Amino acid sequence: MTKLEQLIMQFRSEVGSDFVSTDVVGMDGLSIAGGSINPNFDSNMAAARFAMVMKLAGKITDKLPLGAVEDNLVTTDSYYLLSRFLDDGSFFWIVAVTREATLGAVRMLMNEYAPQLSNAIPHA
Amino acid sequence: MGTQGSLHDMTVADLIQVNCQDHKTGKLSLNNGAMQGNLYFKNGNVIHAEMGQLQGEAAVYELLSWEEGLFKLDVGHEAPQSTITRSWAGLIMEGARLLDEKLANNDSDESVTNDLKETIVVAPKIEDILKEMGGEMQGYIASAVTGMDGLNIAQHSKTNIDPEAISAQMTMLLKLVDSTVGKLDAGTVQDNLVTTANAYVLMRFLPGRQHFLGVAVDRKAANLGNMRLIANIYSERIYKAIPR
Repeated sequence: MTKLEQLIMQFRSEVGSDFVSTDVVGMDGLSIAGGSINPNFDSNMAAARFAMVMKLAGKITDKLPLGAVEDNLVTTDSYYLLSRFLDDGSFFWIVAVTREATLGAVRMLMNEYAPQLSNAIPHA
Repeated sequence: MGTQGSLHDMTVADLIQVNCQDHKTGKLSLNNGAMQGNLYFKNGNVIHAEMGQLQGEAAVYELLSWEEGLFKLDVGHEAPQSTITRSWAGLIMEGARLLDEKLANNDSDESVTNDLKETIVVAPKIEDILKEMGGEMQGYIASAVTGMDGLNIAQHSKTNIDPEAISAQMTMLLKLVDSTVGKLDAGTVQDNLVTTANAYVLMRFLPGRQHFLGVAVDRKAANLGNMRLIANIYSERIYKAIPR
Protein backbone atom coordinates (compact mmCIF):
# COMPACT_ATOMS: atom_id res chain seq x y z
CA MET A 1 0.00 0.00 0.00
CA THR A 2 1.42 3.40 -0.98
CA LYS A 3 1.74 6.30 1.44
CA LEU A 4 -1.12 8.02 -0.41
CA GLU A 5 -3.40 4.99 0.00
CA GLN A 6 -2.46 4.72 3.68
CA LEU A 7 -3.41 8.35 4.27
CA ILE A 8 -6.70 7.87 2.44
CA MET A 9 -7.54 4.83 4.57
CA GLN A 10 -6.67 6.80 7.71
CA PHE A 11 -8.83 9.73 6.58
CA ARG A 12 -11.70 7.38 5.77
CA SER A 13 -11.60 5.81 9.24
CA GLU A 14 -11.52 9.23 10.89
CA VAL A 15 -14.62 10.35 8.96
CA GLY A 16 -16.38 7.20 10.12
CA SER A 17 -19.79 5.94 9.06
CA ASP A 18 -20.65 9.04 7.03
CA PHE A 19 -17.83 8.39 4.58
CA VAL A 20 -18.97 7.64 1.00
CA SER A 21 -16.05 8.19 -1.37
CA THR A 22 -12.72 9.93 -1.81
CA ASP A 23 -10.17 10.24 -4.59
CA VAL A 24 -6.99 12.13 -5.32
CA VAL A 25 -7.40 13.18 -8.92
CA GLY A 26 -5.19 14.67 -11.61
CA MET A 27 -6.54 17.61 -13.56
CA ASP A 28 -6.98 15.16 -16.45
CA GLY A 29 -9.87 13.71 -14.40
CA LEU A 30 -8.12 10.42 -13.63
CA SER A 31 -7.95 9.23 -10.04
CA ILE A 32 -4.51 8.21 -8.75
CA ALA A 33 -5.80 6.82 -5.44
CA GLY A 34 -9.04 6.30 -3.58
CA GLY A 35 -12.46 4.89 -4.30
CA SER A 36 -16.06 4.64 -3.19
CA ILE A 37 -17.61 2.38 -0.57
CA ASN A 38 -21.08 3.04 -1.97
CA PRO A 39 -21.87 1.07 -5.15
CA ASN A 40 -24.37 3.80 -6.11
CA PHE A 41 -21.67 6.46 -6.07
CA ASP A 42 -19.34 6.19 -9.08
CA SER A 43 -16.04 7.63 -7.88
CA ASN A 44 -14.42 7.50 -11.33
CA MET A 45 -17.25 9.52 -12.82
CA ALA A 46 -17.07 11.93 -9.87
CA ALA A 47 -13.32 12.34 -10.49
CA ALA A 48 -13.81 13.02 -14.20
CA ARG A 49 -16.74 15.40 -13.80
CA PHE A 50 -15.28 17.31 -10.87
CA ALA A 51 -12.06 17.88 -12.82
CA MET A 52 -14.24 20.02 -15.10
CA VAL A 53 -15.78 21.80 -12.12
CA MET A 54 -12.39 22.55 -10.56
CA LYS A 55 -10.96 23.75 -13.87
CA LEU A 56 -13.86 26.12 -14.36
CA ALA A 57 -13.76 27.29 -10.73
CA GLY A 58 -10.05 28.03 -11.14
CA LYS A 59 -10.57 29.93 -14.36
CA ILE A 60 -13.48 32.08 -13.25
CA THR A 61 -11.96 33.13 -9.96
CA ASP A 62 -8.86 34.24 -11.88
CA LYS A 63 -11.13 36.82 -13.49
CA LEU A 64 -12.58 38.05 -10.21
CA PRO A 65 -10.93 40.12 -7.46
CA LEU A 66 -11.44 37.38 -4.88
CA GLY A 67 -8.14 35.51 -4.99
CA ALA A 68 -7.36 32.01 -6.20
CA VAL A 69 -9.91 29.25 -5.61
CA GLU A 70 -8.96 26.80 -2.86
CA ASP A 71 -11.94 24.52 -2.56
CA ASN A 72 -15.52 23.89 -3.58
CA LEU A 73 -18.39 22.46 -1.55
CA VAL A 74 -21.59 21.19 -3.14
CA THR A 75 -24.55 20.48 -0.88
CA THR A 76 -27.15 18.14 -2.33
CA ASP A 77 -30.10 16.58 -0.55
CA SER A 78 -28.05 13.35 -0.26
CA TYR A 79 -24.40 14.32 0.05
CA TYR A 80 -21.78 16.92 0.79
CA LEU A 81 -19.26 16.89 -2.08
CA LEU A 82 -16.05 18.64 -1.15
CA SER A 83 -13.19 19.19 -3.59
CA ARG A 84 -9.96 21.09 -3.01
CA PHE A 85 -6.76 21.69 -4.90
CA LEU A 86 -3.67 19.79 -3.81
CA ASP A 87 0.03 20.20 -4.47
CA ASP A 88 0.66 22.99 -7.00
CA GLY A 89 -2.88 22.78 -8.33
CA SER A 90 -2.17 19.93 -10.72
CA PHE A 91 -4.21 17.59 -8.51
CA PHE A 92 -7.37 17.89 -6.48
CA TRP A 93 -8.97 15.88 -3.73
CA ILE A 94 -12.66 15.03 -3.76
CA VAL A 95 -14.56 13.74 -0.75
CA ALA A 96 -18.20 12.64 -0.59
CA VAL A 97 -19.91 12.24 2.76
CA THR A 98 -23.55 11.78 3.70
CA ARG A 99 -25.68 14.72 4.82
CA GLU A 100 -25.52 13.28 8.34
CA ALA A 101 -21.79 14.10 8.48
CA THR A 102 -20.61 17.01 10.61
CA LEU A 103 -19.52 19.35 7.84
CA GLY A 104 -17.22 21.46 9.99
CA ALA A 105 -15.40 18.36 11.23
CA VAL A 106 -14.93 17.01 7.69
CA ARG A 107 -13.56 20.36 6.52
CA MET A 108 -11.14 20.42 9.45
CA LEU A 109 -9.99 16.89 8.70
CA MET A 110 -9.44 17.87 5.07
CA ASN A 111 -7.36 20.87 6.21
CA GLU A 112 -5.28 18.48 8.30
CA TYR A 113 -4.80 15.85 5.60
CA ALA A 114 -4.39 18.06 2.52
CA PRO A 115 -0.69 18.91 3.10
CA GLN A 116 0.09 15.26 3.86
CA LEU A 117 -1.66 14.08 0.71
CA SER A 118 0.17 16.72 -1.34
CA ASN A 119 3.48 15.46 0.00
CA ALA A 120 2.54 11.85 -0.71
CA ILE A 121 1.66 12.41 -4.38
CA PRO A 122 4.34 10.67 -6.44
CA HIS A 123 6.21 13.01 -8.76
CA ALA A 124 8.07 12.08 -11.93
CA MET B 1 -13.43 12.64 -22.55
CA GLY B 2 -14.00 10.24 -25.44
CA THR B 3 -14.02 11.45 -29.01
CA GLN B 4 -17.62 10.49 -29.55
CA GLY B 5 -20.76 10.03 -27.53
CA SER B 6 -24.32 11.03 -26.91
CA LEU B 7 -25.76 14.42 -25.97
CA HIS B 8 -27.58 12.57 -23.21
CA ASP B 9 -24.21 12.23 -21.46
CA MET B 10 -22.75 15.63 -22.31
CA THR B 11 -24.64 18.70 -23.43
CA VAL B 12 -23.42 20.88 -26.28
CA ALA B 13 -22.54 23.55 -23.68
CA ASP B 14 -20.47 20.99 -21.74
CA LEU B 15 -18.67 19.96 -24.93
CA ILE B 16 -17.83 23.56 -25.82
CA GLN B 17 -16.59 24.20 -22.31
CA VAL B 18 -14.42 21.08 -22.06
CA ASN B 19 -12.85 21.48 -25.49
CA CYS B 20 -12.17 25.19 -24.97
CA GLN B 21 -10.72 24.66 -21.51
CA ASP B 22 -8.44 22.00 -22.94
CA HIS B 23 -7.36 24.44 -25.68
CA LYS B 24 -8.41 21.98 -28.37
CA THR B 25 -8.23 22.55 -32.09
CA GLY B 26 -10.66 20.40 -34.03
CA LYS B 27 -14.10 19.82 -35.45
CA LEU B 28 -17.05 18.70 -33.35
CA SER B 29 -19.71 17.06 -35.54
CA LEU B 30 -23.23 16.86 -34.14
CA ASN B 31 -26.10 14.78 -35.48
CA ASN B 32 -29.68 15.03 -34.32
CA GLY B 33 -31.91 12.87 -36.50
CA ALA B 34 -31.80 14.38 -39.98
CA MET B 35 -30.10 17.54 -38.73
CA GLN B 36 -26.35 17.93 -38.75
CA GLY B 37 -24.08 20.68 -37.48
CA ASN B 38 -20.42 21.37 -36.87
CA LEU B 39 -18.49 23.41 -34.34
CA TYR B 40 -14.85 24.29 -35.01
CA PHE B 41 -12.36 24.97 -32.23
CA LYS B 42 -8.99 26.63 -32.50
CA ASN B 43 -6.65 26.88 -29.49
CA GLY B 44 -9.53 26.85 -27.03
CA ASN B 45 -11.93 29.14 -28.87
CA VAL B 46 -14.99 28.43 -30.98
CA ILE B 47 -14.11 30.11 -34.28
CA HIS B 48 -16.75 28.77 -36.67
CA ALA B 49 -20.05 26.87 -36.66
CA GLU B 50 -22.49 25.69 -39.27
CA MET B 51 -25.95 24.15 -39.03
CA GLY B 52 -28.05 23.90 -42.18
CA GLN B 53 -28.16 27.39 -43.70
CA LEU B 54 -26.94 28.96 -40.46
CA GLN B 55 -23.35 29.95 -39.89
CA GLY B 56 -21.39 31.66 -37.11
CA GLU B 57 -23.02 32.54 -33.79
CA ALA B 58 -26.53 31.80 -35.06
CA ALA B 59 -25.49 28.20 -35.75
CA VAL B 60 -23.92 27.90 -32.27
CA TYR B 61 -27.13 29.08 -30.59
CA GLU B 62 -29.20 26.59 -32.57
CA LEU B 63 -26.82 23.75 -31.67
CA LEU B 64 -26.88 24.75 -27.98
CA SER B 65 -30.62 24.06 -27.93
CA TRP B 66 -30.15 20.42 -28.97
CA GLU B 67 -30.90 18.00 -26.17
CA GLU B 68 -30.59 14.82 -28.18
CA GLY B 69 -28.16 13.48 -30.73
CA LEU B 70 -24.64 12.21 -31.17
CA PHE B 71 -21.30 13.99 -31.25
CA LYS B 72 -17.88 13.19 -32.64
CA LEU B 73 -14.67 15.16 -32.18
CA ASP B 74 -11.95 15.16 -34.85
CA VAL B 75 -8.90 16.63 -33.15
CA GLY B 76 -6.67 18.74 -35.37
CA HIS B 77 -9.34 19.33 -38.03
CA GLU B 78 -9.02 22.98 -39.12
CA ALA B 79 -12.02 25.26 -39.68
CA PRO B 80 -12.78 26.22 -43.30
CA GLN B 81 -13.27 29.83 -42.17
CA SER B 82 -13.47 32.00 -39.07
CA THR B 83 -16.88 33.54 -38.37
CA ILE B 84 -16.97 33.86 -34.57
CA THR B 85 -15.07 36.27 -32.32
CA ARG B 86 -17.17 36.02 -29.14
CA SER B 87 -15.59 34.05 -26.24
CA TRP B 88 -16.82 30.50 -25.63
CA ALA B 89 -18.24 31.55 -22.25
CA GLY B 90 -20.06 34.45 -23.93
CA LEU B 91 -21.54 32.07 -26.52
CA ILE B 92 -22.85 29.74 -23.80
CA MET B 93 -24.32 32.60 -21.78
CA GLU B 94 -25.99 34.17 -24.81
CA GLY B 95 -27.25 30.74 -25.91
CA ALA B 96 -28.81 30.20 -22.47
CA ARG B 97 -30.37 33.65 -22.58
CA LEU B 98 -31.88 33.07 -26.02
CA LEU B 99 -33.19 29.69 -24.94
CA ASP B 100 -34.87 31.20 -21.88
CA GLU B 101 -36.31 33.94 -24.07
CA LYS B 102 -37.68 31.36 -26.48
CA LEU B 103 -39.31 29.43 -23.64
CA ALA B 104 -40.75 32.60 -22.17
CA ASN B 105 -42.26 33.51 -25.54
CA ASN B 106 -44.31 30.36 -25.37
CA ASP B 107 -46.32 32.05 -22.63
CA SER B 108 -48.87 34.66 -23.59
CA ASP B 109 -47.57 38.12 -24.52
CA GLU B 110 -49.82 39.60 -21.88
CA SER B 111 -48.33 37.61 -19.02
CA VAL B 112 -44.80 38.45 -20.18
CA THR B 113 -45.64 42.15 -20.27
CA ASN B 114 -47.17 41.96 -16.82
CA ASP B 115 -44.13 40.14 -15.45
CA LEU B 116 -41.82 42.81 -16.85
CA LYS B 117 -43.93 45.58 -15.34
CA GLU B 118 -43.93 43.80 -12.03
CA THR B 119 -40.15 43.24 -12.09
CA ILE B 120 -39.55 46.96 -12.37
CA VAL B 121 -41.74 47.58 -9.35
CA VAL B 122 -40.68 44.68 -7.17
CA ALA B 123 -36.91 44.38 -7.83
CA PRO B 124 -36.05 47.28 -5.50
CA LYS B 125 -37.84 45.39 -2.74
CA ILE B 126 -35.50 42.43 -3.28
CA GLU B 127 -32.53 44.78 -3.10
CA ASP B 128 -33.80 45.98 0.27
CA ILE B 129 -33.95 42.37 1.46
CA LEU B 130 -30.40 41.75 0.18
CA LYS B 131 -29.21 44.83 2.04
CA GLU B 132 -30.88 43.64 5.22
CA MET B 133 -29.39 40.16 4.78
CA GLY B 134 -25.93 41.70 4.28
CA GLY B 135 -26.33 43.49 7.60
CA GLU B 136 -26.62 40.14 9.34
CA MET B 137 -23.51 38.62 7.77
CA GLN B 138 -20.05 39.32 9.11
CA GLY B 139 -17.64 40.36 6.37
CA TYR B 140 -20.43 40.83 3.82
CA ILE B 141 -19.18 42.02 0.41
CA ALA B 142 -22.01 41.67 -2.09
CA SER B 143 -25.07 39.66 -3.02
CA ALA B 144 -27.38 39.16 -5.98
CA VAL B 145 -30.43 37.27 -7.10
CA THR B 146 -29.57 35.82 -10.48
CA GLY B 147 -31.51 33.97 -13.14
CA MET B 148 -30.04 30.85 -14.68
CA ASP B 149 -29.26 33.01 -17.73
CA GLY B 150 -26.62 34.74 -15.58
CA LEU B 151 -28.50 38.04 -15.41
CA ASN B 152 -29.20 39.63 -12.04
CA ILE B 153 -32.74 40.64 -11.17
CA ALA B 154 -31.50 42.38 -8.02
CA GLN B 155 -28.13 43.06 -6.49
CA HIS B 156 -26.45 44.82 -3.61
CA SER B 157 -22.80 45.57 -2.93
CA LYS B 158 -21.02 47.11 0.04
CA THR B 159 -17.77 47.51 -1.85
CA ASN B 160 -16.74 48.46 -5.37
CA ILE B 161 -16.96 44.81 -6.46
CA ASP B 162 -19.46 44.48 -9.30
CA PRO B 163 -21.96 41.71 -8.42
CA GLU B 164 -22.87 41.33 -12.10
CA ALA B 165 -19.34 40.24 -12.98
CA ILE B 166 -19.40 37.65 -10.19
CA SER B 167 -22.90 36.42 -11.03
CA ALA B 168 -22.22 35.84 -14.71
CA GLN B 169 -19.19 33.67 -13.92
CA MET B 170 -20.78 31.87 -11.00
CA THR B 171 -23.88 30.95 -13.03
CA MET B 172 -21.68 28.92 -15.35
CA LEU B 173 -20.12 27.15 -12.39
CA LEU B 174 -23.47 26.43 -10.75
CA LYS B 175 -24.85 25.02 -14.01
CA LEU B 176 -21.83 22.76 -14.38
CA VAL B 177 -22.11 21.61 -10.75
CA ASP B 178 -25.82 20.95 -11.24
CA SER B 179 -25.26 18.85 -14.37
CA THR B 180 -22.34 17.03 -12.69
CA VAL B 181 -24.44 16.07 -9.69
CA GLY B 182 -27.23 15.00 -12.04
CA LYS B 183 -24.89 12.68 -13.96
CA LEU B 184 -23.63 11.22 -10.67
CA ASP B 185 -27.19 10.66 -9.52
CA ALA B 186 -26.06 12.27 -6.26
CA GLY B 187 -29.30 14.05 -5.37
CA THR B 188 -30.47 17.59 -6.00
CA VAL B 189 -28.07 20.49 -5.60
CA GLN B 190 -29.09 22.89 -2.85
CA ASP B 191 -26.07 25.15 -2.82
CA ASN B 192 -22.47 25.51 -3.91
CA LEU B 193 -19.76 27.22 -1.90
CA VAL B 194 -16.48 28.34 -3.45
CA THR B 195 -13.64 29.19 -1.08
CA THR B 196 -11.04 31.51 -2.57
CA ALA B 197 -7.96 33.05 -0.96
CA ASN B 198 -9.99 36.12 0.08
CA ALA B 199 -13.66 35.18 0.05
CA TYR B 200 -16.43 32.67 0.43
CA VAL B 201 -18.88 32.74 -2.47
CA LEU B 202 -22.14 30.91 -1.81
CA MET B 203 -24.71 30.16 -4.51
CA ARG B 204 -27.99 28.85 -3.23
CA PHE B 205 -30.85 27.74 -5.47
CA LEU B 206 -34.11 29.47 -4.68
CA PRO B 207 -37.30 27.37 -4.69
CA GLY B 208 -38.28 26.56 -8.27
CA ARG B 209 -34.58 26.58 -9.27
CA GLN B 210 -35.08 29.34 -11.84
CA HIS B 211 -32.95 31.75 -9.78
CA PHE B 212 -30.20 31.54 -7.21
CA LEU B 213 -29.04 33.72 -4.37
CA GLY B 214 -25.34 34.54 -4.62
CA VAL B 215 -23.45 35.95 -1.65
CA ALA B 216 -19.78 36.90 -1.33
CA VAL B 217 -18.20 37.52 2.08
CA ASP B 218 -14.70 38.39 3.21
CA ARG B 219 -13.10 35.14 4.34
CA LYS B 220 -11.08 36.73 7.14
CA ALA B 221 -14.08 38.45 8.71
CA ALA B 222 -16.83 35.96 7.92
CA ASN B 223 -18.26 33.08 9.85
CA LEU B 224 -19.06 30.31 7.38
CA GLY B 225 -21.83 28.71 9.43
CA ASN B 226 -23.52 32.08 9.95
CA MET B 227 -23.30 32.83 6.25
CA ARG B 228 -24.96 29.56 5.26
CA LEU B 229 -27.63 29.90 7.93
CA ILE B 230 -28.54 33.50 7.05
CA ALA B 231 -28.57 32.72 3.30
CA ASN B 232 -30.88 29.80 3.99
CA ILE B 233 -33.26 31.90 6.09
CA TYR B 234 -33.44 34.73 3.56
CA SER B 235 -33.83 32.46 0.50
CA GLU B 236 -37.51 31.82 1.14
CA ARG B 237 -38.22 35.51 1.71
CA ILE B 238 -36.38 36.55 -1.44
CA TYR B 239 -38.17 33.88 -3.46
CA LYS B 240 -41.53 35.23 -2.33
CA ALA B 241 -40.52 38.72 -3.47
CA ILE B 242 -39.70 37.60 -7.02
CA PRO B 243 -42.51 38.55 -9.39
CA ARG B 244 -44.27 35.74 -11.16
